[in-house]
Amino acid sequence: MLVDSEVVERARNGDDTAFNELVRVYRKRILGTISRLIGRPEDVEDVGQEVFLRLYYSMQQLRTPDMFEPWLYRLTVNSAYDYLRKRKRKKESRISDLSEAQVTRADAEASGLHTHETERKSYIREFVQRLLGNVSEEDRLLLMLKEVEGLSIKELEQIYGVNENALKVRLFRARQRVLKAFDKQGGDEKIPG
Amino acid sequence: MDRAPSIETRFDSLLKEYRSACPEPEGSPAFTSSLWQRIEAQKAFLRNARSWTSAYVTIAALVCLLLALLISIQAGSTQKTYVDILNDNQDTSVLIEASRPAQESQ
Repeated sequence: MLVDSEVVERARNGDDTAFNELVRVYRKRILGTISRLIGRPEDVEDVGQEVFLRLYYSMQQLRTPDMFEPWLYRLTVNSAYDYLRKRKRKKESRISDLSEAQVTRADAEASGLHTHETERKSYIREFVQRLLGNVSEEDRLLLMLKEVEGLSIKELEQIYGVNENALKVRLFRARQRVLKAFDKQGGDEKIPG
Repeated sequence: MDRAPSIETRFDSLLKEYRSACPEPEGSPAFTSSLWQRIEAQKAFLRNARSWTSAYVTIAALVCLLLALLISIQAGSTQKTYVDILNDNQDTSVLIEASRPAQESQ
């Protein structure tokens, strides 16, 4: 854990200074995770604030300080999940939107910072997000936490409160579905080198 | 048979690339202050909702009391039985008046 359990305990008892300390210590890690989970840099901060807002109002539900990190991850996953669902609904109603790659290119061109690397990164983000569109939002987040965030099955068990076997089955199925879509699209051949 | 491991490996390296393609945001300098603004806004909302709820409950309780009072007053006036009401009615002139045409016809 990045902080003493005493800080968590104080925040749980309503100490705002201790809560600020938690935000300061975990902010970067949580924002990084959200960035990878949702793949939209412009919305990361908003979702991050939502996570800490939920944390503030749910601190008293935390049974022991040892469970703080899985708890915080659970809140992060829930907030990312809500965001993805909202975005999906918005996308359905605004089909004419530009893709992220197009927006990034337009932004970069406008600011004169258009580089091959920026374009490539934005293409990869969009490509992976599109691939993950082949599974449900729940499975997409689970897959991300395991494959991109590198969390162990044990940690995922604590976050989701589901047993190991159920998680493994879900992960395997989700991965197979995404792999199938990846194969269908010709793998990573379209990614600019 | 060779294809499956190859696509798996490529997929794994794609995910690694994805990890590095996603920026590691620090959050803006106003992150904590705007977080506290949101917390305070939610607190104010909860406070408002609580005071509205308690006002609503108080008004509802008063209305209930008033209705109960009205019902008990009304119930008090209609507590007597039919016979009691007849006994109370000492004025028999109405009955005499009503029976008069019958007597006249005889």
